[in-house]
Amino acid sequence: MIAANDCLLMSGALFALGVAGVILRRNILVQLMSLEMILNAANLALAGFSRAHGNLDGQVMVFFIITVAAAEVAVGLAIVVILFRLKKTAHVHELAGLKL
Amino acid sequence: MEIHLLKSEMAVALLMGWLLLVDLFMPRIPKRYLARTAVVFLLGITGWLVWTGAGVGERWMEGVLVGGGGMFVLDGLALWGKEFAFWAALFAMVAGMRFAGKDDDHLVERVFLQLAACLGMMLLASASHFALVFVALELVTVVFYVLVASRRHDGLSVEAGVKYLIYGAMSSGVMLYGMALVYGATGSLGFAETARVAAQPTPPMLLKMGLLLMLAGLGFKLAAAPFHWWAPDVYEGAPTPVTAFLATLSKGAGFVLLVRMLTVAFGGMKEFWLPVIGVMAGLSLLFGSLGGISQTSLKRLMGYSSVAHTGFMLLGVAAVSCAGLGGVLYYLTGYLLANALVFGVMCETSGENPYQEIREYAGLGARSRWLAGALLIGLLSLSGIPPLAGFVAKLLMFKAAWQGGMTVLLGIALLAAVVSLYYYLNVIRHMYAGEPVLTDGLRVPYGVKLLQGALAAGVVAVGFFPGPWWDGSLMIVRALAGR
Amino acid sequence: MLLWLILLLPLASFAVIGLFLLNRPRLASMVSAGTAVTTAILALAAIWKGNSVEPAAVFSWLRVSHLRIDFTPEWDRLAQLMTFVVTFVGALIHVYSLGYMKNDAGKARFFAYMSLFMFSMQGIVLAGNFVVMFVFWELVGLSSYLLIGFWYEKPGAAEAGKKALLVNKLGDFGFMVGILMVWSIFQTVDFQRLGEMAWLSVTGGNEMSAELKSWLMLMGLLLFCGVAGKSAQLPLHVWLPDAMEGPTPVSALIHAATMVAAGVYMLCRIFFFLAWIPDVLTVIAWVGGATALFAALCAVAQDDIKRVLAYSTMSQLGLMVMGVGLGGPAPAMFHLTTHAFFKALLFLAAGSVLVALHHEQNIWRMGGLRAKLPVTFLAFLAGMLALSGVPGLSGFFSKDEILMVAFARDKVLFGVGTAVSFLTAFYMTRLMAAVFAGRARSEAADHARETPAVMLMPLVILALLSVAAGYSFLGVKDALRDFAGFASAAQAGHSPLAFWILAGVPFAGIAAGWLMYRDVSRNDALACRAPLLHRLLAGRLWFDELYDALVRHGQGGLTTVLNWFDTWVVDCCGVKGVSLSTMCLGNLLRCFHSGNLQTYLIYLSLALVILIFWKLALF
Repeated sequence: MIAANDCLLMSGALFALGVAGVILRRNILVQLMSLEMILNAANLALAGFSRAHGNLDGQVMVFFIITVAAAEVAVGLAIVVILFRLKKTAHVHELAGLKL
Repeated sequence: MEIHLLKSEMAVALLMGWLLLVDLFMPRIPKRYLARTAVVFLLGITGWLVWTGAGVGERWMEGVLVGGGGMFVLDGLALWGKEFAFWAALFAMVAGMRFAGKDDDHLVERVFLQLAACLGMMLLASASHFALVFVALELVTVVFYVLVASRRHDGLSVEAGVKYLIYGAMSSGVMLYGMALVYGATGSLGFAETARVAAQPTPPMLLKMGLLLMLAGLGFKLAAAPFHWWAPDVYEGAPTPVTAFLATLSKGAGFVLLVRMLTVAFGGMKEFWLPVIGVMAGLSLLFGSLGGISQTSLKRLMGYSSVAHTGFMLLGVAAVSCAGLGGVLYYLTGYLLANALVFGVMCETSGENPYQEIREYAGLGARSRWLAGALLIGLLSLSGIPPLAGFVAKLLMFKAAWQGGMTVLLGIALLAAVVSLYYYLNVIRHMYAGEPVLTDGLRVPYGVKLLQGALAAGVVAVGFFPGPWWDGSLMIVRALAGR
Repeated sequence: MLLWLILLLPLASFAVIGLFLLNRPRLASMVSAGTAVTTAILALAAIWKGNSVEPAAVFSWLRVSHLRIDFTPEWDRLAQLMTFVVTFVGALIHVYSLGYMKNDAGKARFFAYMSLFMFSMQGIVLAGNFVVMFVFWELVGLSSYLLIGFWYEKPGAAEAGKKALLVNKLGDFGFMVGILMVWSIFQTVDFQRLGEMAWLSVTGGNEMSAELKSWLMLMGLLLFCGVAGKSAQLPLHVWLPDAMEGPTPVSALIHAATMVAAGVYMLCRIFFFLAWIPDVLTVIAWVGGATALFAALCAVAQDDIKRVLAYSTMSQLGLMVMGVGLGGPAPAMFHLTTHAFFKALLFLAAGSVLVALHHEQNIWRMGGLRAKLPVTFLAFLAGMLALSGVPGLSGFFSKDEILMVAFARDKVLFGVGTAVSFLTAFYMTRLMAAVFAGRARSEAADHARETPAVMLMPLVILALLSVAAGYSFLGVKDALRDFAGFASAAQAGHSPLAFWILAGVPFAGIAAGWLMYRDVSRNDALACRAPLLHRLLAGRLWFDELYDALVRHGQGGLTTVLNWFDTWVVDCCGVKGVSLSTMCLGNLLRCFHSGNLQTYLIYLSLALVILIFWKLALF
């Protein structure tokens, strides 16, 4: 039997990993994947809480999140492709045209 | 079914569909005409909404209709938000058409996306359930990822797009996780249930944590420090009409959600979130006003200015009084008009000055009296000079802060007002007294003159006769707080 | 509706000219003059309807806690009379300007400013509370500044405009502080509500505390500061003579008939509550009397035709202020009205002379114009006789009213008034003799020709009014009889002794003047016979020099100290310090925006962590 607390812990770990990935990895594609991890952390938490509370609201929410995440990634990848075409790079560190 | 509550949203969705289909199947119709037709239709929908109050009734500011099992509300704040979305979209669309000029090819797509963002804010204004909040907010945000990067041949636009994408996606992730925690604490995603739990003497830890995460996520939308880091970069890099849209619609959406969420869902936890909002207000004021001092690009400056204005408005939220929250709505009205003026002029001059260097505005006063005058009124209103809208708005915020007993914040706000006055006046100085870089006259079509004249008159009218706008805002907020 | 039209038509004209017609001077002048005439007709219609004019929509302008500022046009007898003066004289002067400014390069700009002035002046007249009045008060000051400095390429004009603005601002500052005091004492700035309050307090018989009394006194004096600035009373009078650098129609409209009278109008408007503080009224009366005498003396020794008239205006304004101070607002308003007619007439006639003489302003270089400018001469004569107060003309009746009050209240001030009356007749005779009598004393005067009809027509109308406005069938005198605010001022009895003195004095003045200036040479007769006195008067008692010296030397010592303080303390530590540290702080904060996305993300996460730590772990 998996308790809500375990779900929360697991999702918290996923969230932290995701944030760390976005902050530390320099490749935008990897960052996008880490972002997915943050969203999945939320999904996991929602599913776990849904079970704990005994209603389905959380699980329905998960479906919305999956859909929206797909849209987000689609747009994100498109932008990364444009960036790569323009600058031949997918590294955030080389984005330094706008500063100060 | 309560599908009739969604009339205005459906009208916009239909308009979007029509636009897409006509563009697809009748490629020979010039894009310009399609875009103009869309503007006219949107204007029609706006007029219809204003005229009928969307069925809420004659006293729409105080009435309320609820649908979707409490998921969707139609009250004063919602209608106000929808109208804000309409006007912001209209101004941005017109600015976009003037901006597009030569690269006309993606005009219809851009209008389509702007309508989508508008639809997002309309839904957001009515949302009182976190699922709807999330979907509507993402609709706005994802559309903006595309819009910001829409000058695909321009490295800075794409760079801004990537920055906005990663930063924004992380912020929505944080906000979403906050929602999950709130769900964990309350067992429901509706605002009503949340309010019940939040009103307990000691709200659960999870709820507090969730609220903090959501505030952080919202801080991104509002460009509120310390979550504002993206703002100057993205404002500078994005195409000018998109920056205008970002400054108005995106911020408006954030504030409408913030006001509803904090008063309806978390009204019982005032003591908890009040200091957080206060700190955000103070930091935004400092970063926004001081950071803008030595900027050389007007667009980037507007990014800092937008952060500072967020600070002023958060002051009203932090006052947790009807006067403060009503002041926020009034502030947004004046802010929308002034920004539409400033960015409208920027779009007119964008051909020869793509990055909007302030020194290239030198001699604008001689090149076109109209544009210079419009920019002057817009900037003066933003800096809070009487009798323009920005002045009364700031005054209301100061008063709310004073009555809320926030003397330190008030001091910071006064300081910020003075400092930001410096950088706005600097632009005006360049405009009228600077050594001109360009000297040829600018031709402004009559339609644009008419629009800018109307906007300037609006700025003056809202500031000179604050009565009706202020009363309306107050009524909306009172009705919201009274429920 | 009618009232709104009267108020807003000139504004519309200003906007239309300013936005669209700056390059079409002919059309612009027609628009402006047409508006002025239409406004005058509408005003007549509104006055005809009198109090039965449908109440104009109340227009709530501002509401901040207690303070509620509505824009409700005031339409009592006082406002009606003043509206009549402003619109009617304004319309005539607009028509006159069509001729006077015909070939001026800045014609369109001139008419735009004139329309702006008409709007602001009408705003003062219709204002129903202090704040609205103050707003229009400032607008009037602005348009006056613009019109004085209209020929800004003339250094004198630009200087004069600046001087007028600065001196007026000094007075306005006092006025503003006074308004704030009104608000803080009475919690309202609305004239009607204030009126009710004052009556209540008087009839209630509540004894005022000494503290309240002194506050009220200070408040009254501060409000009077505004009057002193606008109506050129001592010691804020220095701007008015210099203001004659502006075009002559402007001098006629603004610096003789309407704007300078605004101060007197305001005194009458708030008389009900000044009446409540007798000490202030005494001060006002004495300031008015002193100004009247001083200006009349100065007028005796001026060489410039417009300056003579300017000092005369000041002197008459002093009489009006004295009248209000002595408790006679109705006579003061009566004199204001007649004065508006004959002083506008005199200025316009002087303008006609100037046009004929190609802007030669020195009266000793004129002479013999009686035959060459017959219409102008007759008009000037009518104005001169009315101003001197010759029995039977309007000036006599109105001056008589004021001096009768003075006779009943204060014999010394009555003496001052009589002296002023004598001097007025004296210097006006001097002016007439120098300008119109004798032989031409310059080339220009020799070749003078009568001015066009468009300029003469207003002269004739104003001349008729100057003669007739005093008779009761025109109703000017009785216009204020049933005005409630004035009921408190006791009507002075009629004294035969005073009447005969007043009837005789003008003749004495004219006779003295004629004897002295009968045969005019190139020089001033007074300068030959009493050079010291002449120098004293021509130097206007050296008020300007005194101010200059005060400003220059008085500041001398202070400035050295202040300069040191300014350079080292304010500049270094204050301004530079603050601006530098702000700059530094700004640049420091800017450094956060390194442009690196991951840095931003780290800030974001750090902020989040600190937030959570602060809110959740520290509790």
